[in-house]
Amino acid sequence: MQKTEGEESKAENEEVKQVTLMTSDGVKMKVEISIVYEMEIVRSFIEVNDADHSVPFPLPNVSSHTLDLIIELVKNEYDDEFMKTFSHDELKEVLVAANYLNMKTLLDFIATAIANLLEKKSVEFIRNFFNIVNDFTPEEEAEIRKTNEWVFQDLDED
Amino acid sequence: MNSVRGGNHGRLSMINQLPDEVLSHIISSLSIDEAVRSSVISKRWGPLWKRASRLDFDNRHMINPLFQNSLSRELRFLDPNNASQHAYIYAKIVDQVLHQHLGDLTTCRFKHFRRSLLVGEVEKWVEFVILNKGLTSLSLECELSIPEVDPVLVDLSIPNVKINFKPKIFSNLHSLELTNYVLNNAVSSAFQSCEKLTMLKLKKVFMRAETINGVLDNCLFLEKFSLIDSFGFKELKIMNTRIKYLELLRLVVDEIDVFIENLQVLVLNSLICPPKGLKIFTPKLKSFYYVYNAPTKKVQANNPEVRVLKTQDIFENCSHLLGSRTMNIFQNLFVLSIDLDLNNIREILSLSFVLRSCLYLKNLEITVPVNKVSNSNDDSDEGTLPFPNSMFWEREGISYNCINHKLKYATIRGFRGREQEVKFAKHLITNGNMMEKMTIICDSVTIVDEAKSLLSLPRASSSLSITMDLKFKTSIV
Repeated sequence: MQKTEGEESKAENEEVKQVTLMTSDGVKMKVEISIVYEMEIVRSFIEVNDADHSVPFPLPNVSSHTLDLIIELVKNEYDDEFMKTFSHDELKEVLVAANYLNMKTLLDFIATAIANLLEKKSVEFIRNFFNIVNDFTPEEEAEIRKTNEWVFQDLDED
Repeated sequence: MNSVRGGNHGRLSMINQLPDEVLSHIISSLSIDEAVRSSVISKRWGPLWKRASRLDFDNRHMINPLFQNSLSRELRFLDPNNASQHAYIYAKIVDQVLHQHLGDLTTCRFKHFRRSLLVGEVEKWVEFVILNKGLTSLSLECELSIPEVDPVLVDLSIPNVKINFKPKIFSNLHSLELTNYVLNNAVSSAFQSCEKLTMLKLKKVFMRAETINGVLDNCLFLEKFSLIDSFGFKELKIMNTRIKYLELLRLVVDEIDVFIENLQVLVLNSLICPPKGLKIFTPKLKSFYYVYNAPTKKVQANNPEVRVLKTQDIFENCSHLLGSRTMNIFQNLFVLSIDLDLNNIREILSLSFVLRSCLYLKNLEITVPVNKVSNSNDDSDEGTLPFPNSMFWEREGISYNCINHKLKYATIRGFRGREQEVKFAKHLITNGNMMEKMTIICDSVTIVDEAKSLLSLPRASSSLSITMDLKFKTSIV
């Protein structure tokens, strides 16, 4: 984690309506309501409960660093250039968070970005990226390779 | 690297708890070979690709997909001995993949070989994905383009890249894109009852006027229409009332007749058409774009009328500049983005007229064309106006309402620091009361002094920021 906004030092800005979110690492962050509204999980809660916005809404699955990244992405209208600065871990964390927060546009955007990253990479790279253990037996794997032979031709030579 | 599950990676191991839909979503964005290859990752991933919502049958990813050297792959494609074999492999893979795929598809693209068309396979696949997969968005492209012939000289002996669709086959599509085909009259029946079709793009399509008219007559609900590098028709009539966005790129015609009450955006590029053949009625147009840098077209032969239209031609024939018989399509614009030589008196006369008539303009982008260096013209034009040319943008009593009260953003590309370019930029800076951002992009190696001198001018708007840039940094976008 590079920077955290531990203290609530931000000036009380009453012009823009804000919602306080509490991240997994216990950081309270004030977020503009327009951004919060993209988070379906928070939005539906606020709308149903007409909640007091000063009571922090807990996000036990999202770290403050990830939330920072998400806010920047939304503010920059999903800028590709900005996202190119993300590490693999950051990409994955944003993907997990976008799914958890139910942010449709962000999910589309990050899924495409990850697909672009995986393009032309080896199967082993994809396994490492997603932390996947190959649970096929050699026989099962050979069977699959046979079903769609055309995508696996020459693969072993590389 | 040793990754123990549930170890230090706490939160990252959650990646494996993502629902299948999210993983399928990622797979849907992969190329076809990568998507199918994901089946070998793990037991969980194995069947996921079969639920992909999008399949892109791109022949470049299907014939020797792992063969990385694209140049020699290209050469192999062109070898006629391989052509039928490639089409055979392509068809086999398409059939195999479609057979394995489960559930619906929203988007599908076939970039196929010409041979697949000759044996009727493409039509068969189209029917399958539309009728059995609930497809809403289809894109078809024939690999080999119609030989690069001069569109003006093209005759009817077009190679057989005809495609035939069943009647009403497109009735469930929202979006359709066709590239590199010959369409005949019969195709219009495929567009019957296509109430859902809002987006149509025809690129490098050969068709007669009756054919395109027949298609457009059936596409009553079209909102976005693009006609690109297409030929075979001399008159183009577009009257579909729901179109909001119209794109006409690189067409060679005698007449363009656009009558669309609610059109919002008109994007034009390098049209070859007699200026008088432009009949455009789009009273609610909000954005107008015109680019005409197409120096490769070899059609400027004998007929002086047959040349790439300049912005000035469109200005003159689509406003009241030459009389009130034509409609002024510029009066409600918010965005005007054009190629225009600010150093040419006739061109700036037409610009000046249009700027005076459009009252709401917010965003103005002008690109000074590079190749047309008409040095001699500047001086010979001197004396045609009742005042010195250098006074053009500084005349007393001539004011531009939109510049004074509405304009917020202005961009000048291809800036070389010549007198009229500087004068125009100066006019915007010193008169644009609402200006927020001005961008000057120099067509040179360094930012010219004339551009820098603009920075010290008194600004009519206190919130105006001026940015200087160089062509080669920004033109990549």
